[in-house]
Parts: sequence; structure tokens; C-alpha cells
Amino acid sequence: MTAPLRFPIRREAPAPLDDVSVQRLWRGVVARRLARRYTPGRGAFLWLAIGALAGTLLTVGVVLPLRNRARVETQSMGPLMLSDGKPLGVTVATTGESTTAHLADDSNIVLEPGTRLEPLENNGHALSLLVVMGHATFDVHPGGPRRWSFECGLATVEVVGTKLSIDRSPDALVVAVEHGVVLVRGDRVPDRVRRLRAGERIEIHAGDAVTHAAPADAPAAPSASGTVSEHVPVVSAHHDAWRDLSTRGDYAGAYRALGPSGVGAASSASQHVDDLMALSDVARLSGHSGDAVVPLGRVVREFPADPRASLAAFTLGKIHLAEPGSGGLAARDFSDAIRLGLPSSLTEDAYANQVDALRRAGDDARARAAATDYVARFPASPRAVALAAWASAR
Amino acid sequence: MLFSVLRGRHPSTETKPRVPERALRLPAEAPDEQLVTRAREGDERAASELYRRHVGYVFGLSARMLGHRAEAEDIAQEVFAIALERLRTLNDASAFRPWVAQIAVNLVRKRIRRRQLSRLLGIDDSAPDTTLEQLSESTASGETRAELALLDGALAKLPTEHRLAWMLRYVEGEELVAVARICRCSLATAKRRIARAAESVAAHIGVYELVDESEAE
Repeated sequence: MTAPLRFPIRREAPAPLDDVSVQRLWRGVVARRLARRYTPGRGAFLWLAIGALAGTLLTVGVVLPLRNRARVETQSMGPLMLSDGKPLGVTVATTGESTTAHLADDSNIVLEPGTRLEPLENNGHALSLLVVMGHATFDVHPGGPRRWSFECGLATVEVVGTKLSIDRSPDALVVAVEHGVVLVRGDRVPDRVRRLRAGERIEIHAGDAVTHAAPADAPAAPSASGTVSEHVPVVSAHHDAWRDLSTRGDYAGAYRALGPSGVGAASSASQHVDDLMALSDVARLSGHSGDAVVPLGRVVREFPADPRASLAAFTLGKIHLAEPGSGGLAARDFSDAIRLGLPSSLTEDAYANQVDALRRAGDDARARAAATDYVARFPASPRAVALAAWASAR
Repeated sequence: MLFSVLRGRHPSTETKPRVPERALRLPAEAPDEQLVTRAREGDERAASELYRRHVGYVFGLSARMLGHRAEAEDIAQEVFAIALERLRTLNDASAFRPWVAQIAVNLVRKRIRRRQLSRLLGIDDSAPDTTLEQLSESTASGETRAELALLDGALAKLPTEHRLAWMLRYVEGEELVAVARICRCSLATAKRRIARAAESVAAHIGVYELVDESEAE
């Protein structure tokens, strides 16, 4: 040791930093500060890693099973088909014996001769059938994904896993339940809705509030029992050839029987809702949908208080929606259908169709507003996601 | 220009042309506490003044501990990038200097360990360029440089924690309490590390004498 070192030793060993270096390093500091602001820190990476791990576990444990389940369900969530794979279209029992339609979901429909059913809505979530006429027994497989409902003119029948029969004639409707529970809704139903359990039945006659509900094995109340209104019945007294043919399901024959004047002339001459609805059925079901516009339009305009007016407006909307360039008319029709009090089974469809009609009419602003309204009303609907995305897209 | 406010303070840079001072309206001797407060509020001039005031200290400390100028510059930048972005976590605004020293020593510790590993794997054969002896080249006598060269050799053999503690105390001149704080250890631990390091240094370079001029004053 030759010379002591001064304390602190840094005096002997200075590490100078000139101005140029100071400024150069400062530029580096600024750049690193910016990088730190926009780069996730270690903590963020840690949380990202934890999140990724949790996401993976969630995907493996929950999402994938649900997705697989949803995929399986989706395969069976399309329109309900017949058990032989054929589509469920207009079903008419014309033979002398009852006909049984076996459906893919193990449900069965037994149709008596002369019975006619028309599917109004058939998808993975709902099956709505129009019971045009006749007597049908429905054995609905319980626990299925679809909400079953029947439009029967005088009432709407909502079903969940049950067995019931519906008998519709021009002036009466009888619903009898063998198993389960159904809801019968309609203006002629006491309190507008009646819950029927196994063994109960309801009989609804055309006219004012005219209903008889009783155990299924009880004799049907006669018209003269006092439960039948003495007001003028809505049902037309006329029984023309076309009506007989249409009652038997021969709509093409009925259309021909109407003669050269056609459905339009008969509609103009009629003052009865039943006639107008029947004429629209003849036109539509014989392949002349355009001719159904007149009778349906009259029902909507002239008989808005009739419970079938909303159904007429809905049908009119469907016809207009299928016609190019009639989107505006269809939108108005669906709006009318909603305003007139559409059966609940068709309400969601009407709102969705209204969006579609407005889009086709080129009225984007109203279509987006209608889509937003739809999403607000039916947030759980399968169509809600797509409509919400479309409504929010520029 | 933002960088125009930066000024070197080291005596060796006094004669060099300075960047013109503009726009800096901070008091020349504003305490660190005031600068930290203003920097926390987003005043970039205060942040740059903090940097200018302490970068020499951080760089010198890092350079002497690491022995490599480039790494010391890198650490200096990283220290201020971290410190200025985390100013809100500094509880005592007046303790900016020991705080940046703490950050610097932590980074130095990591660099030393990384370098040791690299050397162990044979992937680092770079020679140091800022040993105590090299840094004293322009200011110290030959005898002092010889002493410093011996000291460099002795420090290189010390465990990292002992070396850092001893250098903070005797090379940088930090108080024992400050050494403990910067090393993030207790005072007793700091004393023990320094004592162990001193024994080792004495064993390597023989009789060791250190004149503390500040104490003498």
C-alpha cells in the first residue's frame, strides 16, 4: 500500500457524462417511457397468462360441452319434420278414415276426415299451426324445444307437452285436453284466457262472449242452453258451392267454382268476416295468393275489432313480403297486425318481419329503429344477435 | 426544445458548450420535492430537470459498479424511464435520489448476475471499460491508479451483495442507513455485508487505508 485512497473513492474515479450524452440518454428515456405506457407490464402479462389459463379451462370445461350440446340441439332445432324426413306442409285428411301424421320429435297428429292444418310458423323454437277446419288430436311429445300453438279462429291454443283434441267448425271450436295443460286465449274465452287441465274441455261459439268449459266427459252444452249469444252471428248463412268445396279442402275446386268473377268479386260482395277469411284461404291455398289481398285487406280495414283481423293483417304482410317491391306494404301490414293484437305465438315473427319489410322497402332508418325495438322486446330470441349487429352497423 | 433544458453539472463538462436554456421557468435550485410534485402533475420540464439533476449520479454509480459504460448508460435510461413513470408510487417526494439509486442498484444486481451466467456459459468475453482504475486515468496519480487496480481485482472476487454494499459505502460515500435502504435490507445486514467485504478487500490488497476527508473536516 503506497498511498491512501480518498473517501469516497468516486472522487478518484469519476464517471463523467457530457451534455451530448445527457441529451442522448434523455431521448432514450423518453422513448422508453412511451414504450412502457403502451406495453403491458409484467403484471399485465401475469394477469393475461392467468386469464388465458382460466379461459382455456373455461373453454374445455364449460364452453365446449355447451357448444357440443348446442350443436346437437341445433341439428334438431330446424323446422319440425315428419318422421320420414319430409317437411310438414299443409296437411289435409281427405280419406274416409282418420290419418295419423308422425312427427320427427315423436309427436303425433291424428286428423279426422276433412281436417286441414296449415303451418304458420315452424322452426326450432316454435310450431304454430292454423287449424283451418275439422277435428284433430295432438299428442305433443313433452320436453321438446318447440312451443306449440294452434290458431283456431275463435281462439289460440298454447301447448306444452300434452295430448289434446281440437274440433273446429265454421261456428264453433271445441278444445279437449287428455293429458297435461293448455292455455286457450281469445276474445270469446272468459277473461280472454282459460287454463285447461287433463280431462277438461272448452267450447267456444262464434258470436259474443260465448263459452262453455266443462269436464271432457260432460255433455256439450247445447246452443239453446243460454250460453250462446242471441246476437247476430258473424258466420255467414250463405253456403255456396265454393264454400262446400273449400270446407272439404278442395281449394282449387273452390277457386274454380267462384267463377270468372273470382275471389275479388266475391270478397267485395261479402259483408262477413268468415266469408272473407274463407275466400282468402281459397285464394292462398289454391295458389293465387295475390287474390287473397282483397278479402284480407277488407277484414283489416272494415273489421278491425274482429279477433281475426290481426291474423288477416299478418297473412297480408306475408303475401306482400313475398312480392317484389311491396316491402312498404308488408311493413304496414305487420304494423297493423301488431297493433290489432296478434296472438302471442306470432308476435315475435311479426316484429322480425317488419324489420325485413322495412329493409326491403329501402327505409333503413326505420328498419334500424324497428330492429332496435325488436332486440329490446325479444333479447333472448335467436334473431336478436343478428338484428342487433345489423342495427348497430353503419 | 425539450432537450434544451438539460444541462450537465459535472465539473468535467463545465468547459463544453451548453445547450441554450430556454423556457425552463422552474427555480434553479428548486428542491427535488417540488420537482417531483410538479412532475407527478404532468409537468415534463420538472421531469427533465429531475433527470438532469440526477443522471450523472445514477450513471456514475452504475458505471463503477458494472465496469461497462454501455451497460451503465442503458441502466441510466431504464432507471429514469421507470422512475418518471412510477413517480406516484414514491411516498416521500424528497427522497427521489435514494429512490433512483435503489432502482439502479436493483438493475445493476440483475446485470451482474446475467453477466456471471453468460461468462459461465462462455458467451460473454467483453472486457470492462469503466473499472475504478480506468475511470481514474485522467485524474489520479500512478500510485492511486495502482491502488484502484488492486481494489478492482479485490471487488471482482466478492459476492455481489457484499460488493454492492461496500461500493455504496466507500466508493459512493453513502451513509450506512442509505446503504441499507438502497440495498433493501436491514441496517444490520448492510453493516455485516460491508464488514465481510472489507475483510476480503483487506486480505487481497494488504493493509488498507481509507482517508475520510469529510469526517476529517
